[in-house]
Amino acid sequence: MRPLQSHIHTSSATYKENYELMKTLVEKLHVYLKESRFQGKEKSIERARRRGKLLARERIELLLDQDSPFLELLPLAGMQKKGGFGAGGTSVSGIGLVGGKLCMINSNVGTRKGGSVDYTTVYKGFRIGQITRECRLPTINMVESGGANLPDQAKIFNVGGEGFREITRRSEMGISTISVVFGNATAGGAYIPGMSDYAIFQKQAAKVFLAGPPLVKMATNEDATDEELGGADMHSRISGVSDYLAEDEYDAIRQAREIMEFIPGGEPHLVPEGEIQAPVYSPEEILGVVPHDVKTPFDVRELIMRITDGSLFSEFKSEYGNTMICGWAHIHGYPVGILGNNGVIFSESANKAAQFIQLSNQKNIPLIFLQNTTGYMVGKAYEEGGIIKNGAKLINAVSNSKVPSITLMIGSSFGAGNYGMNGRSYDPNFLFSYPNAKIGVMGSKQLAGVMRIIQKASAKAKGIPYDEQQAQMMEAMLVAEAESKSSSWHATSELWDDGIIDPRETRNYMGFALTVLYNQKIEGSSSYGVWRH
Amino acid sequence: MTKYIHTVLIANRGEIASRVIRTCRKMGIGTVAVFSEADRQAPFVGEADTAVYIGESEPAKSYLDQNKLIAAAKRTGATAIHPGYGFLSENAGFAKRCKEEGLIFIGPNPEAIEAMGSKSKAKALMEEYKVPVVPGYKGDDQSVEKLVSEAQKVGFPLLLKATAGGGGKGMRIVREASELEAGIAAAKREAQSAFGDDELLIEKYVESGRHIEFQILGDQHGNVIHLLERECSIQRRYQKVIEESPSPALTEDLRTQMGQAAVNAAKALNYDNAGTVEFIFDDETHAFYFLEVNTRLQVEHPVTEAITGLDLVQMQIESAQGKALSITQEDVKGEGYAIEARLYAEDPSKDFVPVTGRIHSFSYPELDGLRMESAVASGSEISIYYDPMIAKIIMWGEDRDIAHTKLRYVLDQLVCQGTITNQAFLQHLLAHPDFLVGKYDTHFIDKKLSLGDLGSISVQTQAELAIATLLFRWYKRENERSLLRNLPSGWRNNFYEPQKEQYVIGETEIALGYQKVKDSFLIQVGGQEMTAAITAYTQEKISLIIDGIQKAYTILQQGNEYFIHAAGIGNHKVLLKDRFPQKEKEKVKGGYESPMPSQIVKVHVAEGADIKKGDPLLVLSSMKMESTLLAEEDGTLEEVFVTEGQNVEAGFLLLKIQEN
Repeated sequence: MRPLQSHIHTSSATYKENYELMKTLVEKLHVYLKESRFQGKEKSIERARRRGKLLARERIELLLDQDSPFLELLPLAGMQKKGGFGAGGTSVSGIGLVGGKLCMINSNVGTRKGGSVDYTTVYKGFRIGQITRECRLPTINMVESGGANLPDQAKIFNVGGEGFREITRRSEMGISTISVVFGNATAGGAYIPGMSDYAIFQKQAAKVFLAGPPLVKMATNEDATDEELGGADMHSRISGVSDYLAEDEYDAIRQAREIMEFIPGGEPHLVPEGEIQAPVYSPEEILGVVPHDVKTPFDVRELIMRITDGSLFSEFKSEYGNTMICGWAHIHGYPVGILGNNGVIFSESANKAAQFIQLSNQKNIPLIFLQNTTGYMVGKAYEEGGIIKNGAKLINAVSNSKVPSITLMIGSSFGAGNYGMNGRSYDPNFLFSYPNAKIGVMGSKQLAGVMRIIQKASAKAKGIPYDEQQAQMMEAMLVAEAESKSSSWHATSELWDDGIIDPRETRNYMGFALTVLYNQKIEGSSSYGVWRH
Repeated sequence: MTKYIHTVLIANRGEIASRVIRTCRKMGIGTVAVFSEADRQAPFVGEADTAVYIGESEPAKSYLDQNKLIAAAKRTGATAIHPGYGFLSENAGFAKRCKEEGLIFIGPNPEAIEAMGSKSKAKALMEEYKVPVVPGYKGDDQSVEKLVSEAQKVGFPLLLKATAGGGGKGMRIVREASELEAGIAAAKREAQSAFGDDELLIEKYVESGRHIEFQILGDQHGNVIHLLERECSIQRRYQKVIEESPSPALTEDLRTQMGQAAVNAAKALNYDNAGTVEFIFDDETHAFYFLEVNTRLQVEHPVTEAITGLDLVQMQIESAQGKALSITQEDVKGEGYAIEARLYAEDPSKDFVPVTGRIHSFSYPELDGLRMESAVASGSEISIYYDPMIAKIIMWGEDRDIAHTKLRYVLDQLVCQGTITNQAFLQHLLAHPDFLVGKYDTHFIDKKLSLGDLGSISVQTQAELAIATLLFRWYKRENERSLLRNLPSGWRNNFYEPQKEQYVIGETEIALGYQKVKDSFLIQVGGQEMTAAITAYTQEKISLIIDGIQKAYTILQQGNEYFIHAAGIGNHKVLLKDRFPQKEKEKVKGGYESPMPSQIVKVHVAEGADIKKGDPLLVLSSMKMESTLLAEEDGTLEEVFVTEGQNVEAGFLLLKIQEN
């Protein structure tokens, strides 16, 4: 393999200007991330401190192995949700090493809204559950939650059962869940430890019952205290709901780590050995390389050479269908097939990608999709050329591919291009976005333009006058609306991705995700749906 | 007649045993070491040609047991015994016993030893041989008039001492004639109440006294020479710490006078081996007075060897064989300058109390002129049974400044990890301006050195130690990473707080926050932010740049303790705190624990006894020092968990009192 050669001049004005504009977007990302780290009002935090409690994020830091990397997932989920709890909801979730093993960690932010869960937090939990199951990760829940946010209960009660079902389904698959209870886990929440394979309750802190003293009094006229109904001592000595009694928070976390020591790690498909080369081109340059404006075209190889080991890339069919770049490379030592758009998808590009996906499946190599496409090419010639059947072929290949995959939104994601390039509905194992990324049925300007043409035609057909001025106003509103709905911020808020990333960290994200994906046996698909030739 | 020695049994241990073995080997003489339980692994045991186990660790059951020593010599065919220093080296009875058993005692004749055993007899004998002794009066006439007139003869300042006293009790310094009568009255009163006997003796008090000794050497043919002086004024707890030669206080003239006095003293004793005549030297008047003769090879003899080029052990053996001295006084020439520093396992910040422990690592730089006489190797144990000396560091140089500079370098670079030592104290002492110019007396340590600060470690050094430990540990972890090993250490995509570690250095708890940023670390410690990077790493050494200064740190891990040495900061211990601290074990109410590793000497109380606050409960012995454990509250003795003679670790529960 040879390293790719860059054609970008880092001293050029366009590079520098782009770098600055992308940097502004990254800074914006960091402002939002800072919001996501909000763990409640000063008063609640002080109260927790007084009671010797650790905060949700401190618990994670303590649980993790020293120096372990930690990939936080969906940190900005719900950030634009009206009436919600804000970025990330009331849980912190991510993947890290405990006892040298990869595991999913969920930590309730008990100091924010009492740790009660809003709509976003529930759906974030579902997405985390999906990743956990697909990647066969043991889970450690650090529980301190007041349960459902009552104003949201109608929206979450019915679907909410999925969380509990997932725990036991994973258990059936041999994937363990450990729940450490530091505080409230009542009513439905009691089933989090209740369903877990291992439950650790902290003395004088855990409160786990189906109904608290007032409700019990109402229902059966029985007088009982919190400790009697659901204290750690009672559950450890009498009910047996708790398997481990912890002296304090440190002891509880220590015990969770101890359990992890005896939980078998994954059976990695591959653990890379030996020295791993950094890219020849600095990942730092990605900010100047990937256009902040999705309308500006760029060669996706310029990104690839900044994330692969040694900037090496074994390109497939480089002379054919060249709006679709395909090839194999290593990231952090892991073999990976990369598909990246160099603009609109033609029939040839789609066919090439479908073939590449088949080859990667045959060799059990995971895939990374770098999405930057305005969709499939339109027009008479292309329809005649069967763009639909060829586009379908690509979607067929993506849908039936069984190797794990990661999708990264680096620019446009419009139309069926989103599908062909393994968009959210195609269940990539991980999906991340650059802050500049755009997503939608088409570009907002095109959308407005199309609307104008249709309305004009409609006015003409009905014989009513077409008000140019009002149309322009409507159009501007439409553009603004479409623009905001197609932004990465909206996408991440809606949980359409697993997080917006600083482009300079792309290699680390991909390396991390690949480590997780390679932590189990990889078996590609050998059969696909029927397609037209 | 010469009696050739073919095998020597060394009735001693530690560095002196090693020292004797070395000379014997050079002379083609076989060696037999004897060792106690505690010394099974000691270096000298392996160095000897043959070694005999002679019993339990208590000296009385091994190194002081004459029967066992004689039997060991007989069993191994040794024909001579070298007693070393301490133990039986100045025991006339043992010297005699050897003779009776047909063994050569490598030391002076028993009569010479015996003559020096009594201080008053020795003084009388010396006066007879014109050796200056401290002027004074001792007599039956205890009338105030007599005492006053004798005092006037002695001159001021003077010392009034209770004849029955000792150990500094019943002593009173009188500086002027006007204070004399009142002083005598008070001293008599004190003597009467303390000892039931008001007899006083009068001695000249040497205000600024130096302890200067002369090495002497005699043979069985009546020849005696001296091998110049050793200045030994730097002492703590009446024990020497630093010895040097030549003395900065002596002129050539004084040296000749004192040397002659030393030879006279030896002649008075018919002295026929190596020994030392000790003098007190008055810095103001330049008068010197005989103190005593040590009838053995001294700890500090290498100082003399370094400047004279002689092998004193060889000369001891030759004299014992009946050979005549091979050199005369004129042949004795001192060349250059030598100094010895004694490295002890002791805590200078706590009045030099001896400490126990394991020497996990011991190493030092090779330097021309350095002679290291060490009793230990890496892994050696400093036990409660013996003198806690770890090593003697002897440095020779062309002149005093050269030797001092080199000695200070060695002390800076010396790695001695595992236990508290006086290393930092020695460095502190050697750097003192008065010491540098040779201006000191026997009170130097008490008067001129502030020892309280020695135990404290500056904030800057604490930070340096903590960072060295942190990065040493980090590097080890980093090397062991497997999954995610290509992600930066501690990588976060939503950074919350730095990684943390906590240490205890001395008494101080130190929390560190650190974050790897590219190739270096941002470290928060004690409110300041520092940067550090690792430049090299081996199993026991890590090179770091901390805020721009590069140094190598020798680090040894023992469980959660890290022993660290670096130039400029010396040897320290850093304790790693558990990330998951265990809730403190509750102390047993009314329980008394052993403050240090000790042996139970005596149990004063029985179970069920009524105890009053301040009552002695039991006596502990650690490193030849006894201490009594006192009751802290009134109560009833519930249970005693130890018996007399039992050895206990620090923190061992000794007994329990049911408090009233």
